[in-house]
Amino acid sequence: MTLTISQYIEAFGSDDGRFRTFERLRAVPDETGMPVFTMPGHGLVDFQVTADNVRHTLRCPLHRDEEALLRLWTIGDRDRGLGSRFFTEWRLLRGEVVLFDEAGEAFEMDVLARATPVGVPLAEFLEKAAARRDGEALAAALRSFEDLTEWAREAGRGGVTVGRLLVSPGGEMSLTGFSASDQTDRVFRMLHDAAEKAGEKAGYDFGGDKVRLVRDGGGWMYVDGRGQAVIDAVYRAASPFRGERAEVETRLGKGLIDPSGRTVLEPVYEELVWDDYWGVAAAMREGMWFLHDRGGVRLTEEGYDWLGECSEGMLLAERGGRCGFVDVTGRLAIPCAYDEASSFAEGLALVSVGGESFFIDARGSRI
Amino acid sequence: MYNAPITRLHPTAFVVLIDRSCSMRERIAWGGAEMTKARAVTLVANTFIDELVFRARREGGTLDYYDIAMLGYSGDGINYLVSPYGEFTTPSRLVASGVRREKIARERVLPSGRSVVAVTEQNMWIREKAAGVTPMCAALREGASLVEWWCRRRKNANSYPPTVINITDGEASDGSDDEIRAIAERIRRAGTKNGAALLINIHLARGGDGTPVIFPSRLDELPDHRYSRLLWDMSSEMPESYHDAILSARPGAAAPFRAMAWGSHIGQLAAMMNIGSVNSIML
Repeated sequence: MTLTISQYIEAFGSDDGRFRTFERLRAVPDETGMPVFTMPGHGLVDFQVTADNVRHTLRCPLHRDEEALLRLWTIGDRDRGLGSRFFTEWRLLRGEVVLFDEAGEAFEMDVLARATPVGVPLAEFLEKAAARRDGEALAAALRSFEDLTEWAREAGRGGVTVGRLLVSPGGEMSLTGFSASDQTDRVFRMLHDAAEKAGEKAGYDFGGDKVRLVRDGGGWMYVDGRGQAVIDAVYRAASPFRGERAEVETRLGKGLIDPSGRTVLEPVYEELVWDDYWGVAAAMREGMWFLHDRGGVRLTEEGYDWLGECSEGMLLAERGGRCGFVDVTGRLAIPCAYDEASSFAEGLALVSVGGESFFIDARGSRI
Repeated sequence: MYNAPITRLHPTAFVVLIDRSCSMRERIAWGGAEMTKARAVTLVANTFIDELVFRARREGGTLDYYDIAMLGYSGDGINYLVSPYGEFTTPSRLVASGVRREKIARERVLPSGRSVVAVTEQNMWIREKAAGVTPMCAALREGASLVEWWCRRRKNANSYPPTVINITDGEASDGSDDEIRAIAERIRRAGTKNGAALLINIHLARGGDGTPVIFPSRLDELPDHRYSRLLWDMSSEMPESYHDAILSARPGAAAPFRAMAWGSHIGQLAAMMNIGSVNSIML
């Protein structure tokens, strides 16, 4: 059975009696009064709720079938006993929430719950700490990250990536989840760079991106704060700069430019997706997809029929009707051997072959 | 086939056609309340749009995983309900346009047997209406043009194919059965490399329609009625990837399933629209 987000929203807005273990559970509203939720993919939805006066994240499936429940149970099993000051584990709550189907019949659903980790994303912390020249907080973050990486190594659950780190104002780091790839070195570099710059100037420039995009006649151009053109070109379509790169489209096709207007990837592609977080661009021409780095260097030797969006450093790739995974260096990390596959989440990817579905880890090993 | 992941680069499309003729003024009971059929269908359609918009929400905002068109057909002709300037809209455009909200109360009976009233705020993307005749032919023709245009776009060549859902409680007032069959075939003939467009016809119950039938496997499951046969002929065969979802609504039934309902009640309409958008989970 397909479940809807509206069914959960109704439960969160209702009076008592909808939850098995939680009392006084309420959805956290956004500025418009709608419950705050995100879609982590894979048929799941994460709601922010206040339960028993503590902020929690509730991870709820959008399918009521074996595969969806298996995904929840696997995460619950893997997280059991892993709680520490660096990581808040997911707890599996069986039959926790009462939902109603379209005919008005009640049924119970399993969900995952965890106290929502406190802190801000690493990049935001670094920007703020560097801006106020807070060398102490940066040093504390560095120490905390050393402890965290040691703990993560011992836990052996997967890699540590920038996007899954939260930092408290004092510099205490925590992890919101493990990933298929690892960015420990990158985090250390970011911390060292920020500490260095905090001593040099107030305000850390993370790539600027202060340039605005404005419409000019039938096209788009980039201007500075005073409205002066910073790139001498008008594009048919253009995106804001993210990570010092922007996707642009000319009459010839789509390409990638840097903030000076220099062409990084020639505008000859039919499709192009820049991922500023991982610093890679997937581009398609004449039906073949290739991966490129931020300098425009092609990373994949051979083309693919399709490349997905990057998740945890892995891109779902399809060749000859079979699915596999390419990592952000362009290496075919997991061969195209599956009939179907979904992107990595929490270090796992659901794949199926010969009608059988199962999870694999970042090495391609069956879980 | 019917397995292309839905991404911003490769979105899919939903086209919903809603009968808003005067017969939709009939009063029915739903969710513990009495209302017109037009009101009930409008609530279901609003929830359907909500669901598409909700599922497109990511940390960076609402992303355009779908192109959406919703058309009403009534005595006033064909009206685009969520894209006033015609053609498709997208989740991000819908969010940017803002929406009126209404409190909706539904009676619920908890597993403990206690009866409670659940009040939710419903986004009202479209408003109810019930007036005049049933220009279903014109609506299907408009839907066919939309789907053909969408499928012709190079960008969509590898996308998950469009889904067209036609909701009605009556017969077309503007065309013969043969004309309708021909337009339905136009819709089903359109498609992408990932499959042909799906046409789902949902016929809502009117007094005396008998037992509802959803996703029938055989023609003889339907009443021996010219119009039920016409809907059967118009409708697609549901691809295998929908079978699990259909079986949860029709336990024990045997595939293949025809993408139609006959004499369905509003709960079944909602269930069928959920099943019709089951691919939106493939994000």
